[in-house]
Amino acid sequence: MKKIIKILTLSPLLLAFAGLNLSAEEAEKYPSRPVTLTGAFAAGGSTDLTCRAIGSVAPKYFSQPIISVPKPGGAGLVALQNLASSKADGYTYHLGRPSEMSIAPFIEKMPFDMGKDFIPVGQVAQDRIVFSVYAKSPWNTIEDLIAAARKEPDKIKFACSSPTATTRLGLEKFCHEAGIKLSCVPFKGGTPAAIAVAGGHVPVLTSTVSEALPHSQRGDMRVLLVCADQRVKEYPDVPTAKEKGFDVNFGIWCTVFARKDTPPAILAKFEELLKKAAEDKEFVSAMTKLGSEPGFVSAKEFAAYWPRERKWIGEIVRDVGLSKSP
Amino acid sequence: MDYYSLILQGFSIVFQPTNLFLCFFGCLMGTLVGVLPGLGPTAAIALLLPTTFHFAPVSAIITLSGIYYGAMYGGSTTSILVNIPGEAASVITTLDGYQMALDGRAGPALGIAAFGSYIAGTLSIVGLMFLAPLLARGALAFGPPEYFSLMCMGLTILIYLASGSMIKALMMAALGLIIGCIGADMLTNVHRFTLGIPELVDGVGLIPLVMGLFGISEVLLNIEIQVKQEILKGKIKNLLPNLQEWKDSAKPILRGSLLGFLLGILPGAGPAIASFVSYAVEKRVSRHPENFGRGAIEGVAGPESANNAATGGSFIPLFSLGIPSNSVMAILLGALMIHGVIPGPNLMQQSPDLFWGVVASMYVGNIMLLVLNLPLIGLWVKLLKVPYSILFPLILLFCLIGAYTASNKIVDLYIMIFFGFMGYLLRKYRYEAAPLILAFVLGPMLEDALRQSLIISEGSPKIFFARPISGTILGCTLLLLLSSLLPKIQKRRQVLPLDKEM
Repeated sequence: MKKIIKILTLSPLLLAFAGLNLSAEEAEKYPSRPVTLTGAFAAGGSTDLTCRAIGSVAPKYFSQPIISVPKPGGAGLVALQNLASSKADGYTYHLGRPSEMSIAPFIEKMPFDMGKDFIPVGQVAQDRIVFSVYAKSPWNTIEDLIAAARKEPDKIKFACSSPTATTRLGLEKFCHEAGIKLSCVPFKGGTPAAIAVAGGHVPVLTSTVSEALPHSQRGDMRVLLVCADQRVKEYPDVPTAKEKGFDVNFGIWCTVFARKDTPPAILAKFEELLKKAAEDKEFVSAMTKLGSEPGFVSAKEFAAYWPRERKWIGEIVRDVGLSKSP
Repeated sequence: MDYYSLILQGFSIVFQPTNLFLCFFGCLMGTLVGVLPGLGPTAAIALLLPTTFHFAPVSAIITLSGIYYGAMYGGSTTSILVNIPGEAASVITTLDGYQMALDGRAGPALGIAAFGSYIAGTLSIVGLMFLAPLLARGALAFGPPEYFSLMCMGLTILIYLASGSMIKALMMAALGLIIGCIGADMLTNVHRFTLGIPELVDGVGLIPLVMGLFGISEVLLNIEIQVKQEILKGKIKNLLPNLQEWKDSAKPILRGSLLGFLLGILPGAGPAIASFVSYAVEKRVSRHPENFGRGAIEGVAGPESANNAATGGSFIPLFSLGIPSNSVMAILLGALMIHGVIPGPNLMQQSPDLFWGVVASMYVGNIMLLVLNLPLIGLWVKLLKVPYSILFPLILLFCLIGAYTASNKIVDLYIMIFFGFMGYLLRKYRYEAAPLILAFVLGPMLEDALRQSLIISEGSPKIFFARPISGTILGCTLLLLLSSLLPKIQKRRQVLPLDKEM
């Protein structure tokens, strides 16, 4: 009997030691299993396609497959709960966008502290925000629009894909900088918003480059400004926010996040993979075709930038009056 | 445009062995996905998208399109045989198709559905070929006020969907509107009726709702009747429609094709709405509207043609303007962009191979589907003879799988089961589910369009009447409403003995 008790009490200790050993070994052997990359948006959308693009170039640099698992729902809650409840072993990551990582915490009740519970591992791409107007509208430059808006505050309408969209907040920040107020007409999705402007039902559109592209190519819309520091290749003639003196260098980033207490050694390995993937020719061409801007930003750089972004988003959300739901 | 040589060029692309095989594969997958309740073309296309990355753009689009219109063919099968819709666009087919099956006329029902789908599909491709750019611009003219008016008209058509008591149908519609409200408000993001459940913030999904109300409830109803061994005890009569049935179906098929085609072009509308509208139209113009809901073949021919024609129509905004008119088209847009093809007005000129190759593949695909589905009719009909004790667990299993694959949420399964029980109770007491579904789909669209329009007009309701398209649609709606109040029409729309106890 005594022997059994001895074994029973000692074995967990032994296992614990074995576990400690295992995790050191695991870091060496990483990756030893396929890795899951979740997204907060539905399959077939740009986030999912970006995940899949990473997955398709990964075999060149990573010994295990990276699988894209869309987990839409609850304004990102479903995907984030999945990440938060997964093991901090470096096999589950989330490809985050500003909408669920920076904006949603101010809009929905989220049981997370974004800065404390999640850690960025690396940014691989971003979508640039552009402001466009209906082709038959009287404004040819962004200054025209600003002047018209100053004359009639809160009168000129703009379309956006949702009231809490990153593109909307980008426009609101721009309006804040320019000292004007535009009136928001929300839609359910980027496409209905773009169609409404292309058909002339709403005069102004805030959207990503790829959402505006087919309409501007057809001549139904005119792009007035791109929120960037440098001109984008899809619109070489469109001035940037920086050129016009507005501090709206805000892109809709695609950044991979992990659980905060994931071992740093493992995160460093994954960050290395992301860097190589983001610079891979195949990935770059896939992103360009999707209308996104590939480019790697390191975890350290992003981690320095992210709290600043969350701060001004919080301010804008308050100014615009979006409710925090009970 | 020299259509003849272009279409020949298209056919030469399709008849390459790879493309021919992929077309068949797409159609087969589509049919399977359509037959299985719950699984829809959106899920299948999203899942198969990566496999098409390595193909040429033409081949990829041929495969994915095949899945899309194949699913419209397959969806009617389970609707007719076991009263469970394969997807939202086949809900309406259950109303008369299942009654026909109970009558021993499952073969003709399936046959007319297949032929109607083929004719409508082919006609819509012809429309796509010749009218694409013209109609696409027309779609752009529909803004929020026009959508509001359209939804008003859609909800008015609801009157014609009811086979039994009007009061009960209206109650169901009201319930549908309420369920449609669940979720985050579009304008202010306030949560409505979400009961604190985060997954409900996105609203109730259409697939779990339909699966529950029609699928689960059907199974519950059937297993309650312990005596029933098989769904169909009587002899199965002919397998193909007879001459009379063909004559009855001819006009509904043509009307359904036109209606479906036009509705498919409009972004936001689609095969499901097209099938509802077609049913209402057929019932309205029929000389014997009392037959609807009891096995009228027009009630199968019209909607089935409409949903297939809508798939053809929905390609138009995508190819001509780069605008996806529904979620399937949105995924196809992504697929096109991945292959470096930017859809737009220049698509037909810049990539004629792509456009005409896909158009030709649709002709071929429709023929393949007809050939695939007709002989299978005999096989499907035998399903009715399988003992229900084996059939119903399988049906339940497929419903569960289907509801989960729709969006990977466990909550959807609970929703489906909840509505399954609710649907059982509703049907026991003779409340119809179809008006609920229609109101659930149209209600939120109406509300969104109303609010967007009022923001644009800064509160003035004049916007709905001042704009020509919107004003016209509202005028028609008013006429529809008034005409249903006229005593002459009242007599035609008698209350059927559907209120009798079972």
